[in-house]
Amino acid sequence: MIDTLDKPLIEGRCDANGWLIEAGDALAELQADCGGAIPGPVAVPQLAELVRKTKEYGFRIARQIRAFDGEHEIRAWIELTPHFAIGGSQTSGAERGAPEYAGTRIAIFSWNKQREDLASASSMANRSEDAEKLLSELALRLGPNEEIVSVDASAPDTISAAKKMKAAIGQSWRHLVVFNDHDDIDESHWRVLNGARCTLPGSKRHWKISFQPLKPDAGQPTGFMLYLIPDSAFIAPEQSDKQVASATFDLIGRDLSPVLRQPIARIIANAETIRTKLAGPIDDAYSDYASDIAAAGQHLLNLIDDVGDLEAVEDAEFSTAPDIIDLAEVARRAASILRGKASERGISLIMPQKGESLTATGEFRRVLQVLLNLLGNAVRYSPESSQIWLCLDETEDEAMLTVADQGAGLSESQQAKVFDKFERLGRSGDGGTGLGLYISRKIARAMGGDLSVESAPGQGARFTLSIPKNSHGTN
Amino acid sequence: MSDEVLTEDETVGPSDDFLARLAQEERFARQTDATLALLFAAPPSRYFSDAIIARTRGLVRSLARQLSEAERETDNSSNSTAPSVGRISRYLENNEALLRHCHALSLEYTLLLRLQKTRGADPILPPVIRDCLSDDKESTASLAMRFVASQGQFLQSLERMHLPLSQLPADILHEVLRDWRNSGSPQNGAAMTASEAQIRNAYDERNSRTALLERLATIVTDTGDEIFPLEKSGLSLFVSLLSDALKQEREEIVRLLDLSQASRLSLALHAVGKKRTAALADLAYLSDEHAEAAWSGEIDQVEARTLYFAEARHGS
Repeated sequence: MIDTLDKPLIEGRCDANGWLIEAGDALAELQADCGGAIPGPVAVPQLAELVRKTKEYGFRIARQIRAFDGEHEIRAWIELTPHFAIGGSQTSGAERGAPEYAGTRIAIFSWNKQREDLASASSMANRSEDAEKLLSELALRLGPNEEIVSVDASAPDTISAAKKMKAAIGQSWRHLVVFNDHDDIDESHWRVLNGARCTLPGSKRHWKISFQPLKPDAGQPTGFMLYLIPDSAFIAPEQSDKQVASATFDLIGRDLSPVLRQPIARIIANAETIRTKLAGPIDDAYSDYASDIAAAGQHLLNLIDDVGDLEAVEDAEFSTAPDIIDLAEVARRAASILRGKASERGISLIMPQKGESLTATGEFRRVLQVLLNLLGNAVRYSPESSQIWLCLDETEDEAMLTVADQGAGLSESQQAKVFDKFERLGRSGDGGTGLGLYISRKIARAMGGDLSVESAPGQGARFTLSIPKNSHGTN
Repeated sequence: MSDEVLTEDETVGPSDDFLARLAQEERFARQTDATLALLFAAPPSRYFSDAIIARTRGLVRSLARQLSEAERETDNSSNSTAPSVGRISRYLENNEALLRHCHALSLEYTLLLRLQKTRGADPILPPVIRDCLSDDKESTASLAMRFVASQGQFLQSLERMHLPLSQLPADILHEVLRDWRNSGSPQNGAAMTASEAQIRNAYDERNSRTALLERLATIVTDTGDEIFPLEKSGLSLFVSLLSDALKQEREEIVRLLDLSQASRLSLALHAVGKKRTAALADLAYLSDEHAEAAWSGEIDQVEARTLYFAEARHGS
């Protein structure tokens, strides 16, 4: 323990931005051990916090700080004095004019590196160990002579390296990676390789090595955990996000959909109970959280429904049960279901008059599903107090139903992709899954019809469902 | 409740003053059940004895008085609108960190006096401080001397229910100055800015009693393996030593010394590595009733620590 009362052992200085611009040896060393540079932002966490406070408070602060340099706990008594500049001159007070903060003088009066504080040092070490464990995508358990005991790989680009490592169980791991700048691989002490950079066969990423010695007590390690931590996240080049999502959802829809519905419905129901404060008064903030939970749950349910439909329509054997239906009747039914939602936003739905009818061939349930999707979108994305029309039309062979809105409309490029799977046109957070229109078009086509869009930016959008008048076109 | 005339507020809608009072009442209403439970706790707590509450209130008021005087000194205008002591107090009383600090100081003061009476403990010069005064290292001796002076002033101030602004921890002083600014009227902005700058400029945390204690704690822990017995270190240093070892605020530790917290205190002592006999001696020194508290049992230090902090989390 080194300690002085009035004359600082170590001094340093920060500029007005909180960057360490001068530092005595021990402080400079600690800054480097914590991953910082000079000049550079203060990297010692507690010191950085104190520098920030000195700037904010504008007065002198004196505290003990603790820091961890990777091997030792350091406890230091530290005093910080803010400096103010007035017209280029510096003063440590605020006597004249309106002074501006110009930086902080750091004075360290005691510096204790030896003392091992079991609780704090080990908890900090545990924290960094936990972080490395979480970040690593390839972990090896090594024996006392660094021979491979087991291998655990989690990223696709580590599979080939992991395979080679598994084949080399009992042997040294050191030649199974390629070190960037270490020549004497066999002779280096593990501490020298700790933190070294390397590449892995089969991976384009760069990796950092982290050793965690396994010690029952102090002394020689009985083995190691070796973590390989990548410098960036893995991105699969050959697969787009949408394909990955699709592959995953196949499983969810087929196998998990029925199992997921019940617990999610319970989550929503309970969140609603909390939101509406049925079980007792709670803070509004918690009620808002509950509302978020319910909305997220609802979104999840929609997604499960959509994924179920998606799998159905993508199945090679998907077909509808054609029947003679009245399109006007389906339109009125859809409008009556969504009228409440529309009126919440002041939107009026103009539907086919009573008595009006248009006969077509299709499955009532499926046509209603398509219409609910079209009308639901229109209600969601139309401006408040606007109008939405449901119009009937027909050609010689086809019956058509158009949903027209006064929304922002779609550009040509948007129209080209609006029926794509998982296409959200840049929207998020509104409960949509990007599957509705894709599924709707699939259904329309399965009934021998089609779903198309006409629109221009600022002119609203017209989605038209057409299905055959008689059963010739159905499959 | 207050003894001053409020300044007229010309703006429409509720005044800041009214809102501050409303916030205070709402907080009070929310915490009534928990407070009732505490008042009826067994064993009875001294947290809320009349003497401690009165002293806590007195300390807050003394801070308000200093702020009001500071403003009057810098305000040369004849029609000063400096907020009254009562008005500033009301703002400060809404600051939980400040209340906690003043309450802990009152508890500490009361405990120091009680130990002086029951155990003959010297509140200023306990054995460890005496050793520090005669330490070969000049820096240690000099630091101990500063502490002795500061502790003497602390006891005198607390007796008069006075707490100098310069003795507040930096974070709390910063909040107090913010509350004070909020309590003032905009017309008085210039005078407030000037007096606030003076206070900030004069403040140096290193000279505060708590900073001196904290620094002494770092020196004496370095020389011993175990935290000194309470009898040797004296209550004030004991609190700082525990605070350092457990990395908890002094205020939290002072609360542990209350009779109602005997089990938690015993666990805390276990957690910092005290053996059974040593811990029970500390407990008994505080009060004979404390000694009846069960020792945390056959667990090791790490388990005691885990249990203590798990318990602290649940309690918060």
